Amino acid sequence: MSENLERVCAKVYAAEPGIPDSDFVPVFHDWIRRRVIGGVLLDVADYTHVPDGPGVALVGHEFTYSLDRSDGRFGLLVQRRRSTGANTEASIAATLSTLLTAAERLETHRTLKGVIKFDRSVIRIESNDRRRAANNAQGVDLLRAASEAAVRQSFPNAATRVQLVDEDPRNRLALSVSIE
Amino acid sequence: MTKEWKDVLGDRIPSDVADDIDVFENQMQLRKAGKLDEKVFAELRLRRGAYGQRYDNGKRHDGFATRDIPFPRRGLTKGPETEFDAPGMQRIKIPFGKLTAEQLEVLADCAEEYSNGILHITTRQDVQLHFVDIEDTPDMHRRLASVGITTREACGNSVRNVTGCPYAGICRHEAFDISPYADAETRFLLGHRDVQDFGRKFKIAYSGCEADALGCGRAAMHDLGFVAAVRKTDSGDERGFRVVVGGGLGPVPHVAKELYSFLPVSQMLPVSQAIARVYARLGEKRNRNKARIKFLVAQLGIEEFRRLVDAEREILEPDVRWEAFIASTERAPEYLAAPVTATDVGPAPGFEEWARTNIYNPRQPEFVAVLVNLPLGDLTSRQARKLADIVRTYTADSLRTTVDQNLLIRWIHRRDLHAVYNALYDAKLSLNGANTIADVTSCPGTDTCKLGIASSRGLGAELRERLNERRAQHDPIIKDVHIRVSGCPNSCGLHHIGDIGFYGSSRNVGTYKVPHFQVILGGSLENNAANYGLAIGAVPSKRAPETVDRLLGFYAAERTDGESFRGWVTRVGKKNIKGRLEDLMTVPSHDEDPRFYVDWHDAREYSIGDIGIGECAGEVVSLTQFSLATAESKAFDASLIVDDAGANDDEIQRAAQLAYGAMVTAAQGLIKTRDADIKADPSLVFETFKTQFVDSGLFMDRFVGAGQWQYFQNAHEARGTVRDRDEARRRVEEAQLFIEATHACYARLAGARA
Repeated sequence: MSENLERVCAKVYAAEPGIPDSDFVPVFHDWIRRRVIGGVLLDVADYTHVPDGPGVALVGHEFTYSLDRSDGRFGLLVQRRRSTGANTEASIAATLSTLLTAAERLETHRTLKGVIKFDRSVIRIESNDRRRAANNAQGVDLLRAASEAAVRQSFPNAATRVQLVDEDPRNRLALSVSIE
Repeated sequence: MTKEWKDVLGDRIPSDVADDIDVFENQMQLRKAGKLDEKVFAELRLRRGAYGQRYDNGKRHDGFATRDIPFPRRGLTKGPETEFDAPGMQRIKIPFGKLTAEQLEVLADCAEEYSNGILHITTRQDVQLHFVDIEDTPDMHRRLASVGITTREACGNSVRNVTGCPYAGICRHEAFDISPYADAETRFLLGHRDVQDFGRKFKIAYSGCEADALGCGRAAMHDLGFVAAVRKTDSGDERGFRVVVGGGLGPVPHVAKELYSFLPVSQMLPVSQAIARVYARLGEKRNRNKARIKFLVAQLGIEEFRRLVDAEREILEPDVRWEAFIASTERAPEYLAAPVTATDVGPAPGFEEWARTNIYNPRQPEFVAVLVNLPLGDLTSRQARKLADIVRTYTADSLRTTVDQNLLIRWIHRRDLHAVYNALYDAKLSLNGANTIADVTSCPGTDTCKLGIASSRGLGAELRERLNERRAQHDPIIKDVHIRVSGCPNSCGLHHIGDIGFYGSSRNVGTYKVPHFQVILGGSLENNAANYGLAIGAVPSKRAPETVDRLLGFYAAERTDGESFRGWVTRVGKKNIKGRLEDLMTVPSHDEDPRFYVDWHDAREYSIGDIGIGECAGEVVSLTQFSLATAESKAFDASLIVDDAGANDDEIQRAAQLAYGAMVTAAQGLIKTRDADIKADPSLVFETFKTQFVDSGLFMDRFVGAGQWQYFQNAHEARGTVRDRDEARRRVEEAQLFIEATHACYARLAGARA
């Protein structure tokens, strides 16, 4: 397979935080001001009025971070926005690493301590490039192999179980990776 | 070898369109290599709908200071002061709002892959995607082109999306279905050589009926408007249009003038072409603030403009498309032959309340149309796909975007209504209250727009939430009140035609800036949106919801039977209403309540772009603010007169003098920052202001100043006199804008001293 899939998303889930989504707006503004996370951070976008949408999003040059419910469950979604010439595994690994860092920063943010705790045992990994990895058997093969390898970089000793999340070929190809 | 979209979609895109996109991609490469001028590239991308977005100058205020955004290729630009790496907005034309299920699915894919999974519907039936990388646009354009969607001339100085009544073909009041004519106009003018040399944009709208009771055509607020009409002739009914020209909102709104009371449909395209040629030839090119066709029509007068168009029409080279495009107006039915539902399964929860507000009963009794109420015009990609399924299952591809930022599914068999509702419910698209008071219209404002002054979407979201909670308590007539919010005076949120309108402005309080909204009362959608409201004063942003509550309370208590909100405003009078809102126009000190200094749905202390917060609130500052307040008061008094239908010529002239006086007072206020003793003599103020603030450049910044100075000049040259009521009304608007510009200048001066 020669396809080089760079545009990917990764998401970790959490229980509903029990605070208004609008409380995340100042958190992300604070991240921009204090450069809490790497990369170029641009602005905060508020989509809390849209049901099952990206919620509050921190838009960056390389990644966008959303407190997302687009698949019906609350979580932190990181979207890799740019092509840099990396291969598929490296792109997923970089996205996972960024996701886990952002999750840790949110959990420990001074205004959110005890409010939010992400479940790192299940990670959703998505292709965001239908040209290179559509929601079909070929796409699944590409994403599954690269995802398993990338997850091993973050969780070296863990066993993984991968499931296709959504078979509607129009939706983004998404895998659920269980880490045991 | 990886195949790109260009390779995959090659045979699905017309060759001329594919070539056009290839050329744009090449131009982008040239720009990156420094071989194409940034200004040229800016216009090229604008003509393909690739717009700038807030902070694309590489600077952002974080609530404490303006900081540089460290884009990787800092200094590489895609236009003047526009960083190449900065994300932008992609506007996508949807002519007369007509969408197919397949088109919706491709839009959903593009929103997910190139944006943030949100499709935004605009007040001109476009779709907009935000945070788009310019380098993704050629592939996006190819994917859209493969399903018949173009972004060509979605921005820039050309013919924008041709809008049309979304109820066309099913409306109970229409003369005939305008859809095929709007379609013909779109195809005829897209890329036409006669629409490439305008000084500004050009907006066209088609309405199916004169009364336009649903407010869906809005011909009167467009550069060129067509209102369907049927004329009796010896050989039967003849289709045509009442044609209006020179309308527009924006900072200085104009109601379009009647060009022809009846124009046969056969003349629609050649007359459009003739109008375009007259506008291209005689319209202003250098001063963009005076370049819309409304200024040309006002300057020439409608009779002279008509004479010029008629003369141009006579000498046009004949074009076979004039007849061919009109002849091909028959279209396939948009409904299925029979209902899909065999047995009614009953509706999901909330159907009754939803049905009261979201169903339209067309003139074809066996069908219904349903409005999909989109909060602030937004839906997600997943919702879009589910909607595509609904449209495909229950109609023959009949979906329209509406001018109220919603979607309309048409031609649903009545027997399928519950099934459609249930599917919308599952997709979380069954929000009730469409086109009611809770369905607030809002432009992007400071969320993403470079020109935004206050958070129109933030206020819009806040009002939606509050009004939705309380909507059930409101009596039906209050539910029909419409609220429209713009982030600045440019009126993308259509504040002039709301029962209650707001537009963003900024005020200095001590050493701080405070987001405000001007309150606009007296507008309406009736008669193709021919009634514009006027400002009565600015309230702090955080008091805007309370302002709405109070206005609705007054209206509920004081209206007579069946009296509209506009009728109540006219009867009671804006002066009276303003007097009862004045306590809401005050701002507590920063120490008392710092929330007033942060805009809605933001966390940063309020700022406008890079303007610093001034700390000098000395004596001179107080004098200036006093003068600006006096100027606003004069402008308000003038607005009351021009708003009075019974005002005679003398009173109209008095209004014009008041408006002129307001400008003099505002200018005098600014001069007081340097000379506290400046006399009130208009000529002295004018000359001093010119020397100290205009010639020196102090009054101008990137966005305001030049146009507003022109307003003052015009008023001064006429010594405050006007020709007629229309000009007086414009003078009042111009005075208000001049005052806004003096506020902005004062803020900059205060910042510079800090």
